Amino acid sequence: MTTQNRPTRRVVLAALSVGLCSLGLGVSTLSHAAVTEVKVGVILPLTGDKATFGQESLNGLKLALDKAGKDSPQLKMQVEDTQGTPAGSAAAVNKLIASDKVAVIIGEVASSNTIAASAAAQSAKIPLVTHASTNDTITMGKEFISRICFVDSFQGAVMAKFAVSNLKAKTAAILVDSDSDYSRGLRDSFKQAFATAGGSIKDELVISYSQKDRDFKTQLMKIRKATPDVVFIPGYYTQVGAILRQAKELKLNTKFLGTDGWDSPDLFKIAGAAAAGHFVSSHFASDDTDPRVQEFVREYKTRNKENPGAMAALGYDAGFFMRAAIKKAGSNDPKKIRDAIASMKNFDGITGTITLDQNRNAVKPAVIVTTTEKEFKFLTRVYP
Amino acid sequence: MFDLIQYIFDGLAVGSVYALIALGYSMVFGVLQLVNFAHGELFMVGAYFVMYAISLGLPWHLALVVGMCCVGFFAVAMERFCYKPLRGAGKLAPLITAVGLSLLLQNLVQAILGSNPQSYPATLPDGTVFGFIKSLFPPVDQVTLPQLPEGLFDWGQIVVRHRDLLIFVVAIAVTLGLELFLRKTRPGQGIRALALQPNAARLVGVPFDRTISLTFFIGAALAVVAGLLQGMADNQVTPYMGISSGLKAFAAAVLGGIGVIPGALLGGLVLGIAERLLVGYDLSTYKDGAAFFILILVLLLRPQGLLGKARMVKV
Repeated sequence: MTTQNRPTRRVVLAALSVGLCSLGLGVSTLSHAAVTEVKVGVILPLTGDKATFGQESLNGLKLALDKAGKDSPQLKMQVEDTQGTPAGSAAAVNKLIASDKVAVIIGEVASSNTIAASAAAQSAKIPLVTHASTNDTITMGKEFISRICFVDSFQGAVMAKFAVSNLKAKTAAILVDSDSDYSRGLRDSFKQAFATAGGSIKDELVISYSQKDRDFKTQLMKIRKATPDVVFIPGYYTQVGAILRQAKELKLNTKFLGTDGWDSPDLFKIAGAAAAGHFVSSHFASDDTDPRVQEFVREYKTRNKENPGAMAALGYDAGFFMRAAIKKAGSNDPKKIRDAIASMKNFDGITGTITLDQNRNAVKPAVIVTTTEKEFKFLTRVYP
Repeated sequence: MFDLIQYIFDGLAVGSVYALIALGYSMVFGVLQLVNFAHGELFMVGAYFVMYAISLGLPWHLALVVGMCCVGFFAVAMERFCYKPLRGAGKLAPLITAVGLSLLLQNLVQAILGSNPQSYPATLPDGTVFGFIKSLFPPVDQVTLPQLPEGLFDWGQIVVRHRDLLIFVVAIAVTLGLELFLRKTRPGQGIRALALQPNAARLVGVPFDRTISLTFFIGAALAVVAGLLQGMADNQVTPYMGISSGLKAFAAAVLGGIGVIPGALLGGLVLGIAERLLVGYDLSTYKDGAAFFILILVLLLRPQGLLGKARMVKV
C-alpha cells in the first residue's frame, strides 16, 4: 500500500512543502514571535516484525495532532517506515533531513533502531525525541537526542524488585534477545538489581536467543531443568509470544516477567492461552482508572476499533509534548527546538508527568501489568 | 552427554522442515540444473494459503490438499511463463529470474496481506476479492483449529515433543514416498530419465515439458506440507519466512548432494542438528553462519555433496 501511494504522496508533499516554505517566509517577516507551522519527521516500524508498535504509535500521534486542531503551531507530519531495522531507520532519518528538511524528528520504537537513527540526527544537529526507546545509551553524549519514556536501568530494577518483594523469588533465569541493544541493557540492569535485592542468577541461566529463531525448545529445556523461581524475558512480542507458547507445551510452570517490548495485542494472538499469568512492566495500562487515561482510551477506541497499548499512549503523549516544546521554542530553528525540549518540566502526559533530567531522559513512573489470555490488567504503579 | 542427545533430537525436528523444502530444490535442479531460488517463497505462500484456508473453516486435510494443488499449479505456471521462455538462454538468465521471482513474491504477499506475522485464526483483509472469498464461507466464530499433538515424551533428562516426532516421521515418510514414486512409476521414471540424460530421454519418448511441470508441481506440493507443519508448530507465518528457511534448505540440498533425494533429507537433518548444537552451547548468534560454514567445509572435501555421485559434466 505504502509503495503504491508513495510517488504521488511525495509529489503532493513536495508541492506542499514549497508552498509552506514560501508561506513560512511570508509569516516570519510579519511577526517573529509566533511560529505557525513546523515540519516534524516521524520514523516508525510500520512493517516488519515490530509493526504493531509502529502502527499504534502512529495512531496515537495522529489522534493527538487532530485533537490539537487548527491551533498554532501546526505540526506537519512526514511519516517514514523504517521496516523495523537499524539500516532502515538511519536511511529514514537521512531522507527526512536531506530532502524533507524537517525541523525535528519523533521516533523509532526499538532501541537498536533509535541508536542508528540518533547517530544520523545528532551529526545533522536535528533534534530527535524518541517516545518509546528505553536503552540507557541512546541519549548519552548526544545533546540533540532526548526521550519521553523511562530508561532501562529503571525498568529492569522495577521488575527485579517486584520479583523479589512481591513474588518472593530467590532465583531467576534471563532469556536475552542477542540481536537487540534493548534486551542486553535490560539483562544487565535486571541482573544487578536482582542481586542487590538478595536474589541470585546463575551465569548459565542467562541464555540468549536470536530474533530469527522460531524454535526455543533448547533454551527452554535448560530452564526446565534448573527450575528457577522466575524467568525474565526482556524481548519483543513476536519472539516472546512463541517462547510462552512453547514453554506451555514443555509444561514449564515458572512465572515469566516481561518488559514493554511485550506490550502488543499480537502477543496474545501468538501465545494464545499461554499468555496468561505473567507480569510485565510498561508505560501505560488501558484499564487504569485515571479519568484522563479513560478519556484517551475512549477516543482511541472509537477511531481505531481496538484498545490502545503502551505505544499508542506514548505516541499520543509525544504529539502533545512536541507541540508544547515547539510552542515554547517559538521558532522553526532546530537548535531552539532542541533547547526547548531539553528544558521541558512537569509536562502532564497520560503516561505520567514528564520532566527531562540533565541527560534528556524522562523521569516518570512505570506501570506493572499482569496478563490474562486476552489482555493486560493494571496491577500497580512504581515511582522512581 | 544427555544434553548432546537432547540437542540431536531437537535438531531432527528443525532439520525435517528444511529437508521437506530441500526436496523441491533438489528435484528441480536434478532435471533442469536450475537453482529455483523462488522455492523458499512457495513454502511461504503455501504456509499462508493453508493457514487462511483452515481459518475459514476447512478441515486441515482438505486445506492441505487444496493448498498443495493450488501452489503446485502456481509453480507450474511460474515455470511455463518465467523459466521456459529462457530455456535456450544459458544458465544465468533463469537463475536471475528465480531471484527476481523470489523478491516479487515476498513483496507481493507483503503488499496484499501485510507484513505483520499472522497467527491462527487468521482473518483475510477487506477488499472486493477477499470479501468475495469470505462470503463463500459461512461465518465461523468458533472454528475448532487443528493442533499438532501437544504431549511430551518425558524421560527425565531428555524430553521430546510429540509434534517434533510427527514432523520427523512426516519428513521420512515423504522422502521414502518420493523415492518410491521416482523408482516405481512411469512419470517418476520419466523425471529420473530427464535428470540422467535429457536428450536420450526425449528420444525414447519422455514428454519433456510435462515431466518438468510435474517436477515443479511435486516440489511445490512438498513445500506446502512444510508450510503447514511450520505454521502450526510456530502459530506464526510472515512474508519473510521463506528467505531464511529457503536459503537453509538450499544449503541442505547442496550439502546432501543436489539432485539426490535422500541427500536432501540427510542435508536437512545435519543442518538442523548443527543449529541446535550451537544454540545449546549458547552460540545462537552464529547459528545461521554455521549452516554455510558446514556447507563450505563439506564442499571442499566432497564437492558432489554427502550422498552425491561424482559426475563428469560435459563442458
